[in-house]
Amino acid sequence: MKLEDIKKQNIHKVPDKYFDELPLKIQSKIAEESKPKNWVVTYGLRYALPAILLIAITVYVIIKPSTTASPEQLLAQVSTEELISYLEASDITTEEIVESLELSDIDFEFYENETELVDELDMSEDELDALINDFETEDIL
Amino acid sequence: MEDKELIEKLSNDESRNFGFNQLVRKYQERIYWHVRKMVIDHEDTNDLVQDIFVKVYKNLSKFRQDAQLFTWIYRIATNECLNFLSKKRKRFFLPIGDVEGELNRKLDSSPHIDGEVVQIKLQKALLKLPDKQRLVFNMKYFDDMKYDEISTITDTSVGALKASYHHAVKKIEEYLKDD
Repeated sequence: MKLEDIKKQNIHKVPDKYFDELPLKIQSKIAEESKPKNWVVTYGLRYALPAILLIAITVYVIIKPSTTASPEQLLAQVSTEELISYLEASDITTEEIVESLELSDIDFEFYENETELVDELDMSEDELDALINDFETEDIL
Repeated sequence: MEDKELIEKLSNDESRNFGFNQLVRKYQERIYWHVRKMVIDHEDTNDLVQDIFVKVYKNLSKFRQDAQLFTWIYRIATNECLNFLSKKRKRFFLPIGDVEGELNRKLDSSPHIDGEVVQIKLQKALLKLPDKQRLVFNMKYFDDMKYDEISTITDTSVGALKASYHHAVKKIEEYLKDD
């Protein structure tokens, strides 16, 4: 097909009265753009305000204090009597409690002379032997 | 109103607004259609035409009266069209094909398009041309402008324009033959 065979036609349409109203729209636009601009408001709102909001949100997220208490803080609020009552009522054994403890949490006091502990028990040797015999050796090891 | 009289009105502070109003009424349709053929969409054209005339008003003091008034306005309109299409391509890093696709869709679906199938095919063929080549084709084929006038508007030599138009016609005819 040759271009010269195609009839020249404008396929684009415009809304009714468009050209009647266009000069007024242009005049209004010129009048609007001729108004003196408040640079502080224009550029402050456009650039400074979003930047300030972003910084404020970032700072709040970083330094926001935690509203939830740590487990240690919660436990400190419970009295010793309540703790003992709970442990006695529960199924947990003494051995399980000891096993769950971190060694660093326990303050060990070592007697320089191991006989001092025995002396403090205030028991005779016979009584002490009887006491030792009552324990199964695997309980100690 | 003749251009000479228009220029006199525009040069005078008291009559500038009146003169500008007359200028808009005289050239608005030619500028509108020049832009519309390039950007296809009526709303885009409406925005661009208003921007063009605002620019004309702001730059009246820069108009050198050695050039014709209409040629000067047409040049502003041409540059605004090319800038608009260039920005459209750069926005979101759209490849060229996407802008063509978008304009094609407007040809198919816009309520402000009404033409025979072959006419719409021709418009789609034009969208395959580079923007500047399409611009030259529109001015020569649809507006029937002389090469000298197109040369002043686009700042391109007459020889280059003739070659550009000739190649555009060949490409369009190939497209219409294949489609």
